[in-house]
Amino acid sequence: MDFKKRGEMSDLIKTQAESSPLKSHGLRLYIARRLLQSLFVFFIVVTVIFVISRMAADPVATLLPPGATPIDRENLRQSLGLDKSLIDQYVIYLNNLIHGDFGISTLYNVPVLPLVLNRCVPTFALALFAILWASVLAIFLGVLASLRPGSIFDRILGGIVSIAQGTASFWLAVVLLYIFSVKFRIFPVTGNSEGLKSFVLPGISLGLAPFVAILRLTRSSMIETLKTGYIRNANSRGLKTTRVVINHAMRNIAEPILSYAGILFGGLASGAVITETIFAWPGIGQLSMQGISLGDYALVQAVTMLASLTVILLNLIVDLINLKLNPVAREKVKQYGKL
Amino acid sequence: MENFNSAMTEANISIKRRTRRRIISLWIGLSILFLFIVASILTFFLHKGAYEGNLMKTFLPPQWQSGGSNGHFLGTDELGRDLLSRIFYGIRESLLIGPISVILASILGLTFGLLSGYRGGWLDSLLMRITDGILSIPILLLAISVIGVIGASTLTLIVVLAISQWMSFVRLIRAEVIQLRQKQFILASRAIGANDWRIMFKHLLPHLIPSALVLATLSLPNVILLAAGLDFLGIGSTPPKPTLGGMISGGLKYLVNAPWMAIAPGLALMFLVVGINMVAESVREKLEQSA
Repeated sequence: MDFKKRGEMSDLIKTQAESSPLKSHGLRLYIARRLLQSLFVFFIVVTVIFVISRMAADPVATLLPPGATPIDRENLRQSLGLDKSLIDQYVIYLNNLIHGDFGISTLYNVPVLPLVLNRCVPTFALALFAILWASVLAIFLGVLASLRPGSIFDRILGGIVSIAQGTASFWLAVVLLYIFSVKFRIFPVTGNSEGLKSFVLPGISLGLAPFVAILRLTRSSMIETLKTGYIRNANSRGLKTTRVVINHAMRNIAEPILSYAGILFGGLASGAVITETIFAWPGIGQLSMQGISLGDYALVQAVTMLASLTVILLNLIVDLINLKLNPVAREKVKQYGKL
Repeated sequence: MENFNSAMTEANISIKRRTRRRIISLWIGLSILFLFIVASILTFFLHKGAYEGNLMKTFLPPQWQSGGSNGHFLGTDELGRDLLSRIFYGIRESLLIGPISVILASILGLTFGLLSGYRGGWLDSLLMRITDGILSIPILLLAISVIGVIGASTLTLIVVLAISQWMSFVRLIRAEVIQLRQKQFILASRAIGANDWRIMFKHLLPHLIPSALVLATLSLPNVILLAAGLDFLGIGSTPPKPTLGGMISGGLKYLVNAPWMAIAPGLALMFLVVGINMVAESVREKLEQSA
């Protein structure tokens, strides 16, 4: 098979796509299907949270002071709607959620939703900082290591990675605090009031796990890519190694790395509980810890729900970006309406 | 031809070298693990220092620092309890809770993965969507929600850790079952009239054990780190019990004057996890090479 001019292969795929009955509807069909799927997954999340919240033996007991009479107990049960059947409770719960009513925080005595949404911004900023340094550094080092697998540099990096894998991020945070805030007083101990300076320590400890994960993925997929025929072809044409790696090989591994980084970012933006607790970072992770230690269950529920929604949405976005980046997947979707 | 031969010998050398490296890292990992197991067995003989403090001897630094006392190698904490023996207790706790939750997760994962992969159809779709749902709840927040409702205890901790890991087992097992169920030996056993349960647990299960074992060893370090994180937040095992995560969070309060209190248990945790990782990775590589 020889193709006379460039782009003939993609023309071939295009004509196939146009001849299929779906034509350009495939893309729309795929997006609709993914949206529906995400919605269903969120429904499962909401249901799981409902089931968890009814696992308590007697939810009223924890809310009342020790001297409460049985009548108080019954009144509270009725005002919380706990006297109804479980199915009725579930329907009421879903109905409230659809109307944006996530309950009222017993701790702050305000509706939960705006409270949580306000606290999302610092969490989001911290997660963004962490994923940015982690992926930039990890991709750079991973590509360097993949050029000569088994070299001294590769092995030293491998050693560092396996130690980093065993390091708990909260312990790293404690050590960093000791070195940079207690001994040398370079960075602030807590809070986010000192601009970029206050991002450094929590950002480093939060980014450790994604750094290791992206580094490993970059190294292994780059090693695989460098073995393929089109890279050998580019090398034999006499192109410089830097150009082959950056212009040719990076294109191939960009897609898996980007989707992985997106999913890791979802995890960071929603699960920075420990880091936020250590550094007193005013985000949703700290809010949920406050909620649990002071018995504000509506708060914990809302944080959990919104965090899961973030993860689901990021998965969706990553899939759509992949469609943009990967022409093979795009043509397949256009043709069949699914991957 | 000559070129081909030299390429072959080069490949042989690199395989040999890799094998040697793998065996070395396996032995290092195993010896670290052995030391930690010995340490956790030792806890049965040194009950006193870990729980009963001596208020005359609070905040003693490690032995090699000035002011360190001879009896306390790593120093003491705010109640004068010996840090080294508390670390031994913490290691015992990690080595008990980690494997138990991984075993629970793999039992759950094997059962649901088998059902999902073998039966297929609506049951499969439903189970897969449920795992998707649970996977998208950040694990720490899931743990916090569960613990907030039913209260912190060792049993809750084990269940939460198992829940956090079982989905990856379900997915792996399901994918393998879907490949296996079209093989001839399954068709043959169905032809002689074996029912679904017999096929699933008598014929399919033995083929799934190796990959489940590999996944179990790979998820053990994750579980131990996650448990330490929950202990650190104070929602893991119940407080008077010494845990590595709990000790780090306790030491955080005295970071200025007694940094060893937070740093020493973290180092122990790191060695433990790195040791397990070394064993797990070399076992996985061995299986990949022989496959």
